[in-house]
Amino acid sequence: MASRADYFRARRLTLAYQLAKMKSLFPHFKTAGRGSRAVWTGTLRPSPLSDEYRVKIEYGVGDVPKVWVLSPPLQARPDNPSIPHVYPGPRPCLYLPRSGEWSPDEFIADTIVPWTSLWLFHYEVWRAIGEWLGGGVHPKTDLREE
Amino acid sequence: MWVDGYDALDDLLVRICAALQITSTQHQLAEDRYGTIGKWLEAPGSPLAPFGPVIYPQGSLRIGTTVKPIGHQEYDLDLVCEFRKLDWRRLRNPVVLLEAVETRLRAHQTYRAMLERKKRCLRVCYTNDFHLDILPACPDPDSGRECIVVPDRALRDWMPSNPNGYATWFEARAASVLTEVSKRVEPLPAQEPLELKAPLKRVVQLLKRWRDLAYRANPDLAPVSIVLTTLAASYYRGEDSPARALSGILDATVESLPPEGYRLEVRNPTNEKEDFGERWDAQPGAYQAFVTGITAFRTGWRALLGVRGLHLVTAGLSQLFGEDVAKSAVRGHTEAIEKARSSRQLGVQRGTGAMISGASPGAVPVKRNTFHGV
Repeated sequence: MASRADYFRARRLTLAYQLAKMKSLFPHFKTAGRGSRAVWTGTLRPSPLSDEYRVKIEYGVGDVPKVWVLSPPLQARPDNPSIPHVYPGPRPCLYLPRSGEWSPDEFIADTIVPWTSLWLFHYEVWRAIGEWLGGGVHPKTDLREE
Repeated sequence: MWVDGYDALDDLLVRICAALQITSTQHQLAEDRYGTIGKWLEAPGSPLAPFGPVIYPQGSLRIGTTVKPIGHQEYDLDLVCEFRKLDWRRLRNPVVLLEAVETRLRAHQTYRAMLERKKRCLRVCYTNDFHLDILPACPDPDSGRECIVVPDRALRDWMPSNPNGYATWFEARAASVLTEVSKRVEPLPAQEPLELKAPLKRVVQLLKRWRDLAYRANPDLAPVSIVLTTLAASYYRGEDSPARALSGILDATVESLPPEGYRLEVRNPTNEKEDFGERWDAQPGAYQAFVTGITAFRTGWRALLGVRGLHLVTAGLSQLFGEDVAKSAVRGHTEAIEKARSSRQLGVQRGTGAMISGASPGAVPVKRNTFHGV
């Protein structure tokens, strides 16, 4: 018989739960994908003074979610060619891998989407003043996502 | 956190103004120092004591619209030293009064080294903080309650003035705010409260800052503060948002500009006969420079209202009010978000993803995360 702790840990969210939560919190995101994979596309505006960004989120159950900013394209500063906190792509790096911040037990709509909006806010501030004020870690070599 | 673009812009503008104005410590220091000067002027043994000197602030210090000047550290703070028991009609040449105050200040060990003689006043310089410009004055009750006369060194004559009446008029205009409380959704408890100040006062600070920047290369052509302050207060329509108030004031000012060949009149609200715009007549090119400048300001401001993207908003604010204050305002604006985030009080709006207080209805709380990657 499963212990109490196992019972709570075992709850791995199915794609149906993920799709339902996204539809409820961010209803204007369009859903595509099939089987155990989903692709959401929609817009985020992190603050009333911010630009509106079209983003794509890809997720397969058991996999790591990936986020792309489709438009307007991410741009570096004239004085600094590298946008902070991105994976090649470039894709925003939203959480610390293997830290528990993200796990398949989490809803994309509760984590990845708010973090993307927060990232976009800090990206605009970085473009504005040349400083990343959103904190984070810069791994020297280890760029694995899992 | 911010309802709309104006609300978010107000947060940035208020931060710009807060960075430009005299700090509360300096304000206290100024009060202490002019109080001490007042005591020296009226001390037993002072030749001025029998004439009842009373020192009080006028101008930006009085109405709360101080702006740090560009290029030097010290604020210009204006004070009146009114000799309540002196009948100005008995003093043919008012310069005598200026000289009497100067003589008394020079008799003081400390003030002697800090003193500077100006056209209408005496300046006491406190390095790194401010200058206190002391304007000697006599009451002029025949012209009305609170009316005074002040000396003009060049004209060797008395000039009418009413700084208290002006301040009362300005404060009444500033107090005509439509809605008292700001309409921020669920203010964040952790957020540093920004000083509540009448939106009109913010606009005056912004106009003065714009002026200092736009006419930096030609300060002689710059519109004087009393003109900007009077225009702003006259055209203010009670908006509760500094950004909306600035829009309204710029529109009304530009629309009120008379056709070419005529000059805008700026009536002194306490003395209809006085036109503050006469200052323009004395300086060739100054009025045209004002027309060109204020029109360009409105164009730049309208462009700023139309852009989206904090980097573009910052660029617009930098152009109008200076890069250093614009950037530090954006830093403060962002630190408010980060403070809410680290205390688990940040959320995003359902649907749009806009940053809001986590306690707002429709908020999706922002869970703990650490941005990663190079």
